[in-house]
Amino acid sequence: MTTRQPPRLALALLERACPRDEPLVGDLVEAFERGRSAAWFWWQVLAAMAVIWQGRSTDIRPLHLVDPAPMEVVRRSEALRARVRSVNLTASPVSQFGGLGCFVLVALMTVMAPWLWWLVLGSATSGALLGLAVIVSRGRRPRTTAFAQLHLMDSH
Amino acid sequence: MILLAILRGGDEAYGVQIAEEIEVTGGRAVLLGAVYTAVDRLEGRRLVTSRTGRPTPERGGRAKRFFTVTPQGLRAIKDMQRALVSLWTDVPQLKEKRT
Repeated sequence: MTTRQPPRLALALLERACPRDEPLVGDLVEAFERGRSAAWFWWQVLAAMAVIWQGRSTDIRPLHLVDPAPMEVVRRSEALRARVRSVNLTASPVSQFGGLGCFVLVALMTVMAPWLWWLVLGSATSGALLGLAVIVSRGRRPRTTAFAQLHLMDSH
Repeated sequence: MILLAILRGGDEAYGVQIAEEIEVTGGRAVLLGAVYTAVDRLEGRRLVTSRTGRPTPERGGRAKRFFTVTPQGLRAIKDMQRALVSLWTDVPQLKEKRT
């Protein structure tokens, strides 16, 4: 005895879209075997998918209390955060303080307290003078580099 | 209509049978998916109960889902019948003219 086979693609689509609705799929297969057309089968499959999808979209789905997925996501996220450390690419000595921060600070200083620029200028000048003094004092002192020390040891 | 179709099918009412019952008596095409959605709602309201039968070869090894109207469902049908009958009565446009 040969049985009529319903359109395979339609059947696969329905089984994929509604895996929990085995009786519905069975009913459609049975009706097709009783003589319904392939067009009827396709129409029923598409309509069933639409109806079921529409019904499910308004369902209230309770949370899965034993679902390990959210915990796994949190754990992986924390592991990733621990592995990836932030790198300061702004050449700023202060972390999280880059070009935009400097610009905002300069703008604020210029608008709110322009006299602070004198302080900045004084600090920069004194810093430069101090640096020059250090260079001059080091120039007068005899150099004791590693190479010079080795040379001295050989001569002894 | 679905409750009545289930009642007419007896204890062995299932999707195809309900759809055919509605098609024959109501004279219109029925979507099986819509039948199942409606029956699920009726089951949620405890007007219908369902049980899964054994898989059969003519359905590609898939089981049937049999539906039964609960006493609560039967009461709802009777209430609906009473309401419809009272709505039908004394409507002048529906009264046959006697010649």
